[in-house]
Formats: sequence, structure tokens, C-alpha cells
Amino acid sequence: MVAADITPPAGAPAKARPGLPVLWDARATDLALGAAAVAGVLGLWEALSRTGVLDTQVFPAASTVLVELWRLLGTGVFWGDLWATLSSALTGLALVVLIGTVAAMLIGLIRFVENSTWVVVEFLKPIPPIALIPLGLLLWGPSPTMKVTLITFGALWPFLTQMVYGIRQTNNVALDMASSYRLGWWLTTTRIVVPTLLPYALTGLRISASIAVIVSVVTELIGGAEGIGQTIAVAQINNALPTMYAYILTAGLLGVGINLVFQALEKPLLFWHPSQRGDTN
Amino acid sequence: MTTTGPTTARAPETITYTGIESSYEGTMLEVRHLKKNYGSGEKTARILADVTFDVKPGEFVCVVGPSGSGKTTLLRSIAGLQAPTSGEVIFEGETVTEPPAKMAVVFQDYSRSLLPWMTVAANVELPMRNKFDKAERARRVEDALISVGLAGKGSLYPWQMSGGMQQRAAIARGIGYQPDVLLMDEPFAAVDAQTRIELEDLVLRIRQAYNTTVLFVTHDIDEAVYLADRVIVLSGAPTSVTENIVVDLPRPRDQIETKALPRYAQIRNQVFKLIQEAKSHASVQS
Repeated sequence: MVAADITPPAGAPAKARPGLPVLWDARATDLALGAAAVAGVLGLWEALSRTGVLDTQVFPAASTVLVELWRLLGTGVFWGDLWATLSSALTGLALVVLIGTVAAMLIGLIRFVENSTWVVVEFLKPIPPIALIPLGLLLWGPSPTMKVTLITFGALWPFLTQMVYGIRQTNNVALDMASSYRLGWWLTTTRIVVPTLLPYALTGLRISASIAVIVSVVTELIGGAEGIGQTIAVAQINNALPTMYAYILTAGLLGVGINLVFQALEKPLLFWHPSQRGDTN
Repeated sequence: MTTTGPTTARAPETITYTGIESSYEGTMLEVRHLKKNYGSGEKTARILADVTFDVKPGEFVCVVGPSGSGKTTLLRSIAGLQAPTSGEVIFEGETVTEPPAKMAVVFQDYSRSLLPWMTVAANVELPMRNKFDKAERARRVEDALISVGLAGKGSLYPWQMSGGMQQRAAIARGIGYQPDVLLMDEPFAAVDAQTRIELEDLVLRIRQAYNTTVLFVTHDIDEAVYLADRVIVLSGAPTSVTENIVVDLPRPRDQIETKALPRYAQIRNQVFKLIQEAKSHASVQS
């Protein structure tokens, strides 16, 4: 029944999946460059401390801080602090995804909601979450609830903005296709809507994740909730400078770690996206 | 001899449906006084004024019209993707209110109608998911890919293919759905001339192999006359049917032999003149 005599198009390029070795090379180079930069900064810091350019009373040598960090890695307190900071940030992020997705759907799909909320959104966006710490303390005290609420508030906007943008960019041809082939809501949602929004969601989430860590540390630092930030403040008061800097480094490493996790997620989830696939026709 | 006027007055012996049988007897598709306006009040854009035509089972009908004649609007209304302002589309005896199950659409913009996160095989399989079990789907995907000349390419992603191959994949998706009518909206407008010729012949072969009725919208007069049993010429917006021209050229068609026939040139020129008139009429109006 099928015309099997139809020949493939002459000379049509049949490109294989993007060459992994090439990507690995590029990634290895990036990693080496990054590591070299970190080593360079630490070396410079060490040299400046040793030569006395930096006052070691204010700025202990890099080696002192790294030794302290190594010691802390063996203590339960350190991991407890790390977990307090990280778990609040992650809980906040989960709420951001939940609230952001629902809000983005409403704003992106219903004109009335968009018109009635954009002033409020634009008003709330630039309010630094730090400014709300006094309010949070008043309502909930230095508790995880206070932290998570402020984290959610601060980290919501990048995710929400990206999601609304993503919904606006929806590919109408694909939706027409879905409708004409009667795919139904389940296939349309899982095979078209979710993959379409995924690049926007991941970009938004990546920015929101950094903010979540920052707000988490700051609420601990200023609000006195348990975590890395609180220990930084306590160490500072007790003049335990190597401990303070070790914790500051930890906060930085936490940020790097979250970024790496999202990068690792993007590769398998967005292999089809022009930003990831490397070659196009 | 050129038969014009309403389709019902058309001499039936001018088309032979050799080997073409369909699951539906009678008129496959009836478009009745279709009218579509966008907006309301003073800003009303009148796109379709009054479009009426029929498509018989097994027929290959091309709709041509000057640019801006609402070809895509017409096709979307027929496909059940948008409601007309008035008039109706009757498909296999039933008024179209939503996309019918026995109708498939091949869109012009293949790069956006194919999903880049799925392999070509998965793209072709997707519309079958609500219809057939897994083994049946696998068989049908294989069949459809072979019939468009993409055998063994199912594991590629659309973006690893040329434009022509992507549109072949989109055609395979339409065919695999096993529609009674295949609607094609300027499917070859975005591919190069060489590929276009290949794809035209591919569509003719597929139509023969699958006994599918085809409604093909194009702005290309040569393409319309080469492919069609009948060409429906649209006026400029607000659009109505200007002419209904039976293409009594022998089949199978051949890119060289058919286009060398004096009759081909005659029909082509007739369509060309009608489109030119529609254009000048439209420009006087607006």
C-alpha cells in the first residue's frame, strides 16, 4: 500500500547528535580556566597577607582561612548551619516554583489578571527582602518561617517574570497542530506546553536560586535565624576572623554549587534548545 | 474546454477517480457561504466574504489566491481551528465545530509545527497516541516514514535535518494519522525550488498510495495546476470564489512532460489572469 520507491532526498545532511567530545573539550577548558582563576585569586590574597599589604588582623591569610574551613568540615555544627541555610533556600524555591507557575499562568493567560496585577508586581519587585526583615521578625521571630517567607518573596520575581515571558512566547503553530490532531489536554500539556516553558523556567530558577541563597544568609545575618549567616555574625562579634571568612567562602561555594546543579540539569533537559545543541540548519 | 462555475454543474467525466476509494461516499467536504470578519464596528476586517465550494472523495483540490486573500483563514476555518463569522463547513456530512478526527493538517511552518524535543519518529507518532496501541503505532510510524522517503531517519531530531526533510516528516505525521482529508497550508512555501519539485511529486505519490483526499492551499499557480484535479481561484479580500477550474491533464503528472503540454500552459495562463484581475480589483477597492 505504501509507495516504497520514494527515494530519500539527494544530499540532505543527516547530522548526528552534536559531538560530545567537542563539548567535553570546551567544558574541560572552561573548568581549567575557572580553577586557574580561583587559584590565582587565592595566591594573590596569600601573597598580600604575607607581605603585610593586607592587615592580617582584618584579613587573615588565605591559607589560615582554608585550614579553618578544613577543620570546620569535620564539625557537626558546620553541616548543621549549612543545612539550615540550604533547606530554607530550597523550601523557598519550591514555593517560588509553585506560586510562580500558578501566578504566571493567570497573568499570562488572562488579560484581566495581567491588567490588574502589573502595577502591584512592578511595585513589589524592587523592594529588597532585607527591608522586610523587621516585619518578618515582628510576625514570626527569628524562625525558619520568617526566613522561608522572605526568601520566597525575594526570589519569586525572576522566576515569575521568565514564566510570564515564556507563556507569551508560546508557539501557536504547535498549539494549532495539537488541536488539529486532537491531542487532548494531557498530551498537549506534557508534550508541548511543559517543554516549551522549560527553558524559561530553568533560566528563571537559576537566577531565583542565587537570590534565595543570598536572602537566606542575610536573614540569618541580620534577623538572627539559625544558619551560615548567624554564625558569620557570631564569629565576627567574637573576633574569630578565620571562622567568619571560612563561612563567607562557604556561602560563595553554595552559590557556585547551585549554579552547577542547574547547568547539569539544563544539558539533558534542553539538549534540543538552540542554546544547547551547538549546531543548527 | 474549461468548465467553470459552481462545482455541482461540473461535468463529472472530466475527472477519473481510478483506484481512489474512500471510507466516505458522497461529497467529502462542503464549504458553504463561509464568512469571516476580524474585529467589529468601524475596525472590522472583512477577510472572507462568501466562500463556497465542494471537495469530492479522492479529489486533489488546490486553492489559489493573491496574497492577503485569506487563504490561511479559510484553511483554519475548514480545519475547525477557528469558528467562521457565518456559514459552515460540512465534513463527511457533519458540520465542523472542532477539528475532525479524520482530518489532518500539514502546516507551512514545519520548523514550529515539529517539536524539537522529540525525534522525528516521536513527532510522527504523537497524534496516533490516542488512537492505536504501541505496536500498531510503531508499524504505522515506520510505514509513514518509508512513504515520505525518511526510512531509517526516525531517530534524528528535526533540527538535524534540512528544511525539505522536516516538511517530509510533517507530511509523514499527517499521513500516519490516516485522515480522509489532508489539508496542506502552503506547505512548500519555505523550501527551495529543487526541494519543492521533489515534494510536489512526493505528495502526488502519497495521495495515490493512501487514497487521501487533498485540499492544498498555495499562492503558486504552477504548483496548483501541476498538482490539482481542480483549482479554486479566490478573489482578493473580502474573499469569494472567482473560478472553479477543472484541470483535465492526464495522470500520472510529470514535471517535464505535463508542464510541456499546451493544455497546461492554457490552464496556467487562465489562472494567472484571474489572479491578476483579483489583485487589481483588490487594489482598486482598498
